[in-house]
Amino acid sequence: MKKMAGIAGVVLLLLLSSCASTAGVQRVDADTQTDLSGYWNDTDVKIVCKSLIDDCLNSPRVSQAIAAMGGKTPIVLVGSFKNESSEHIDTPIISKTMEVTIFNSGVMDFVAGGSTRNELRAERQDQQSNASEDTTATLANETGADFMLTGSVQAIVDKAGNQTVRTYFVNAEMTNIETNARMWMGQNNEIKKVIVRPKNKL
Amino acid sequence: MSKRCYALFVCMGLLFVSCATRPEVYREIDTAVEQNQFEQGIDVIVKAQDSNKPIYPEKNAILLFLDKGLLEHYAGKTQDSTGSLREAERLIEEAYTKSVTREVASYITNDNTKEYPGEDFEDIYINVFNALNYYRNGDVEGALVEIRRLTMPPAGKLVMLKDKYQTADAEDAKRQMESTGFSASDLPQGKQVNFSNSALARYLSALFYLGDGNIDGAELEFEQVAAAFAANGDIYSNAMPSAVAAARSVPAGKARLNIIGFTGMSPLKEEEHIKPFFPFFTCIALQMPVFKVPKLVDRPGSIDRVEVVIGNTTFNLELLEDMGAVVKETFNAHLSNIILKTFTRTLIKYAAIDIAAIEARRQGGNSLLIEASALAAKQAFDATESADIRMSRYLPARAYIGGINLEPGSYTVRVNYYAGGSIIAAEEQHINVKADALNLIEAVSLK
Repeated sequence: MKKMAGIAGVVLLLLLSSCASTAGVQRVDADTQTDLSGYWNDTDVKIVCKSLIDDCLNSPRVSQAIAAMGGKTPIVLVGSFKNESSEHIDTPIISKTMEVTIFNSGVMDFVAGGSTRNELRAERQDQQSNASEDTTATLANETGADFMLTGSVQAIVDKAGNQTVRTYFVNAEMTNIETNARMWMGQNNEIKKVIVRPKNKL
Repeated sequence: MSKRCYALFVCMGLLFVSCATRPEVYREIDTAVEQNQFEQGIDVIVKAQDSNKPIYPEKNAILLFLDKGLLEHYAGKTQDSTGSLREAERLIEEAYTKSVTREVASYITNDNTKEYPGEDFEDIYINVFNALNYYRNGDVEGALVEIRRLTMPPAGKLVMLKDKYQTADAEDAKRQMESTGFSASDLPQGKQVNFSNSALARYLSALFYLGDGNIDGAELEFEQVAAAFAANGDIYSNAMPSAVAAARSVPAGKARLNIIGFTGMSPLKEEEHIKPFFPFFTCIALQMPVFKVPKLVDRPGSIDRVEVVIGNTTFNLELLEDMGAVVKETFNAHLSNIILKTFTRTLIKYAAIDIAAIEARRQGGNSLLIEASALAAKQAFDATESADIRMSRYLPARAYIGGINLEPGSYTVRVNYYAGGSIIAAEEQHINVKADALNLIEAVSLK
């Protein structure tokens, strides 16, 4: 009887040990690989962006295009980065990471696009009526971009039984705005994950 | 010993009877939904879940997020709805991993002990309504992501359904039951499932591709609408709506306004009692079992026509998808398995009683008393049986579409819902119709 009570006590303790009332938070290094669900995550963004940026900055075509501009630093505008997959992916993280790194490398300059550009235009318009004459930004004096950076994320998902395979294809292109000629194209298809769901749990 | 056994039977009965959620608990939500008071329905759910008597216990979490997500969608709380429906979808994905303990319990008692894993039709319509949520939040790309979860090969949900239903053998369960000497011909039978393409999902996909400027993608999806109609005459027994062709060719300078309307409420599972004959048991009481199995029952809606009025122009919406028929057909896919499991469970329980009765007779027990004990034990075990009638309650029964080519500009759109010749509900929406953009409004009345 005492033995039974002892065993019951241990079982009860084991059961209650998972009933902590506060969430556990642990700070980890930003480079730590944390794969929880198998979906697109921060590690994937880092791998993809590093590969595409290295590819762009070391591309002989980019060097040729810059040389052909007679020493002028090319100006780039970030266009749309489309999510063409079946998973909600925050694609602006990819385009923004590429923009920051390429800009800081000094190889290319960027001009604001998208909603930032609209905000700037609205502010410039507002300054015409509300700012002092000597501090008002001049209209029609934006820097025209030479190239547009665009891209897309596609994914192939295959599934059988408890296994899912997700393969991502991230494409990025820099296109000459005047001629539509591609200056550079890069693709990363390194991200391939096999997710196995357990068939049973207790 | 026999007293202790009897007490054990009674305790088991009391424990397991409480496993099923009674439909009455939904009455307050149902009433709110019938009156299009969706926010009131959400309030009832939220308050009940915060109380010590939640309507949706933990094992029914998928249903909580499905029902709440749909009501939030109808109420226009699209961001909340997205969160709820995504959670429901995540839980359905996780439900692939089955709890061994709950699975074992379901063989001893009934399927209500298991975590609700979601039905195929629920998993599909989650993405349809979430696509509409994303669109209404101004995110056409997000809407397309939701639709691709259904349609993109090789692992889109509709594509996977095709494989699943092609390999399912509706006759297999019947054969297994009849191998015991039992005649299964009087039991409801599962039917071959042909549903593997949704005209509703394809039509929305085409519109979203148009909104995203992908004409080729839209054309492929419009063709798939026709393919869905051609592939399944049971679900798409009506002619393909003319609005599908009209959406493909909008005259230059005009803007097309598309309208999608949802009416009625999808069929609901109810418990059906089937009384077959078990000739192989020695106790007479055990030869008349009661199978409690789920059965889909229509919830007849009053709306039979949806009319749209824009200025001086009036037109009717056309039926695109009988969602109730989709519910019925996909549910059929596993009806045979439900019946087989009920049969197996009943057989095991009754066999245990019959073996005890045979042993008691062998020891010279009073045959009348033995028969009475077997009857009592049977009643105790029958009390543990309960059909699993869980399902999402607030899916519409029908999806209608329509559209009109207009000069770009602001319009007031009135939608009238008719029952016979009378308008029983109406709503008005204001929309700024733009050229070269997707203009889509949604109208809902579940009456």
